[in-house]
Amino acid sequence: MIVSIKNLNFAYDESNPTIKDLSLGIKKGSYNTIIGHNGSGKSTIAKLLLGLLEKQSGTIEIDGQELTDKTVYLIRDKIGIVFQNPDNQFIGSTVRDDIAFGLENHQVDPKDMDAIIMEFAGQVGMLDFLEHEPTKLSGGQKQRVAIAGVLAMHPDILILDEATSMLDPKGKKEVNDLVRSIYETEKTTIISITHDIEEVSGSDYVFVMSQGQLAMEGKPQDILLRKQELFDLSLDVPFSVKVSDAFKRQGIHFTQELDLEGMVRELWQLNSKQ
Amino acid sequence: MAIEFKAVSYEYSPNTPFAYVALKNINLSIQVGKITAIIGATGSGKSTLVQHLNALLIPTQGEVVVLDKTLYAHSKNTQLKALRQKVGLVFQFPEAQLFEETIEKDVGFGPKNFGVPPEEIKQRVIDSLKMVGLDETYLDLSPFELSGGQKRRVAIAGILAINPDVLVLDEPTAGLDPQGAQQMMALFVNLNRTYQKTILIVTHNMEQVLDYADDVVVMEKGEVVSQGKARAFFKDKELLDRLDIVAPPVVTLRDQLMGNGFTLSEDAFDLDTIAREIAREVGHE
Repeated sequence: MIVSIKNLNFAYDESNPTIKDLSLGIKKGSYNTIIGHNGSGKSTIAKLLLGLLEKQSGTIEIDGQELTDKTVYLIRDKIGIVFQNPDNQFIGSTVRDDIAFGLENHQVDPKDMDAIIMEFAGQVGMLDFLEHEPTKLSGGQKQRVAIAGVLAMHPDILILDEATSMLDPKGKKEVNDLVRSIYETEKTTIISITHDIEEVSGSDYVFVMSQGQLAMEGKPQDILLRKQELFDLSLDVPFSVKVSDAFKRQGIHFTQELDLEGMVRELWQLNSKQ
Repeated sequence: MAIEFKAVSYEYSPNTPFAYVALKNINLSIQVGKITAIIGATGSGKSTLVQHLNALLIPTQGEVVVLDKTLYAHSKNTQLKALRQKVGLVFQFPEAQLFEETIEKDVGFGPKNFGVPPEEIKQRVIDSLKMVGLDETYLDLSPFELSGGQKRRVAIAGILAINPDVLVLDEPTAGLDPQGAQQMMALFVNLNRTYQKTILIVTHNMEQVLDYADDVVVMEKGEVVSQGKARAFFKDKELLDRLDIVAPPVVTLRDQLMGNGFTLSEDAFDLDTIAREIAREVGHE
């Protein structure tokens, strides 16, 4: 387990705790999604993992090391985070400066910086934009620059806190594809806090948060079929499950509910049998 | 009464090194009393376009007709206050603009500024809160005690309290959870059907366009590249491909079914209708 949380408690407001006795573990190199309605505590977990908020009780271990006042800086070196609003995380006046900012903070030798910047700008497909002003980029491009800045720190864990929720469909796809390739090639552990149910379908493991606690956890193919529970938690189900439901109301049952093309094939077979 | 753009161009910071043409020769007619979706990639000019509707921006060329007011380029446009009372603009993440101690004061801020008599303000506040689905028990609460979705409702109520005929919303469901987003869209449909508000929504969500909008306007690089009925738009595969727009999954499902020899009626754009028609076809009733 690269992340191990035990009996974690946190409250912004004492009378209404945000995280209640939460325990969970995340496997090294896995792609995890965290879903939950607004206010369920999803983003608070990310901030607690980074030590941006101070827990009230419980333990957080990252890669075998307990998060404390003494270890917080070591642990932050292992975790990269990209936030929701791409406009709130730019420092530099050019893409190059922005990626350099993190490197400077980590006292990377200026002689090596150029090569590192080229490497990571290249990985996120932004090499042609190094001299551009970050504010003039599209949302998807901005998030890719933010990810490049984070990757240059070689994190073991990449956290995305609703990183695609403000992007247009194209930008969303750019970022999702990039994160997937980082997961596949770098074996970076991914923790994506998201409302995008299709992204959840493609992840290894999903955590469902409700009122500061884990309501469900497991493989997406198991969790996403628990329709009523997801609905009760104000969450969405994949499109294919909605299709299956609509056909069920007409008395047509599919052998599985997560592969839309397979369902269309089943209908085709029904039709040709007539 | 109409909303029309006639040969409108808009240039930011003209005659400076930062000059940037955001709108190019826009000709556009928006139906009053309908829900119109404005779509297009980031930076395509959607927000610039809608900011003309209540004269936050004045065209640098051409003219914009909004109800009984016309905004001209190169002219000193006066009496904009009346227009701003008729067109309410809700920016992205409007909850970030809440500032008062109580919801009553926050929602009442707009009408107060427009000189509505104090005794009338309270009733307007109550009515607007009701429109967004919040009752009188919310009046004395601090807007900051609410959840994200509720805060956004309060912010929208603040605009409704001005009693606009036209409500313009820039990505009103961004950042809301799926059910919060659905409730928000249902709210706009209700404002349109029950209170006859003309609604313009800037959105990236094609499912919302298909499910809720009557008309759609597509922008690309500062130009209007398509305008028409939302359903007809999603049937035009060639146009969608050319504009690089990914159709909502229900449209893809329709195509797959029809590609497999099924027949679907023109109106079958929701899952229940599609399932019913297919069930009939395979003799499963």
